[in-house]
Amino acid sequence: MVKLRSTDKGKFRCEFNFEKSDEVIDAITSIVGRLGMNESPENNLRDLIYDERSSGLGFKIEEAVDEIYGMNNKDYFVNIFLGNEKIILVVNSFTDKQKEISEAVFEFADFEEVRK
Amino acid sequence: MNKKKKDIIKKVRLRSLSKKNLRCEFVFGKSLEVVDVIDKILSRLGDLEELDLANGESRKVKINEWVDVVCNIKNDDYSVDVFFGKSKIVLVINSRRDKQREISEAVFEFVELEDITSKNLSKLNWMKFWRK
Repeated sequence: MVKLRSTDKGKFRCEFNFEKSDEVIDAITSIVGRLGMNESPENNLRDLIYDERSSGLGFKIEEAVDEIYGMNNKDYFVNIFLGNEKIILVVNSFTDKQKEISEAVFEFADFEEVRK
Repeated sequence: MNKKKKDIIKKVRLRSLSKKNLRCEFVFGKSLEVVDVIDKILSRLGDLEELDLANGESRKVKINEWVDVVCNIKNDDYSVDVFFGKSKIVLVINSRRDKQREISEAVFEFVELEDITSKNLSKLNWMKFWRK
């Protein structure tokens, strides 16, 4: 399970903020697959990020800054933004899909423990 | 008159773009000018609100603070995400139906592609001159 920093959820839009790490890329690849976007190779986030860079040799995710990857199917529009320190997953839909999105995300991610 | 007005619109430079039926992505350098242009593009696409950036003096400070932040604006036809990165702003316009034409018209009224060709051309001319 990867740790989620914060979420922002509405009827038609869910945003999830993660720490920047390779594990998060794997988790988001799985989440996107759960949302029905694993049929096409062009929707495999891990391949999209790593294959571009000389077979991924020596590549660190920290080097990818201000990059965006997008994919969609009939139900969802997904954007994955690789920022300076964060990875942001945004799932937009034109009908209320909050439940399905939450189920997919929380299979692979959970909240950071808040320490007192 | 309109033509004259159109001529004086200062266009911002687009770094790259990616277009598909239901998704258009535009990548800009990070500046306040770009935020203003995105506001104009959004108003051209319908009743999409302005970006939630503070007005006036504080805007300059705010845009530098906005790193790894995403804003969403939506109406019946479009769902727009604006990502603020370290040195880039990315505008992503998702639509229910194919709206590429409308989106391009709205965007290219205020935006132009970085003119790599003319840079290369002037370099080429300079080389010709040098050879003489």
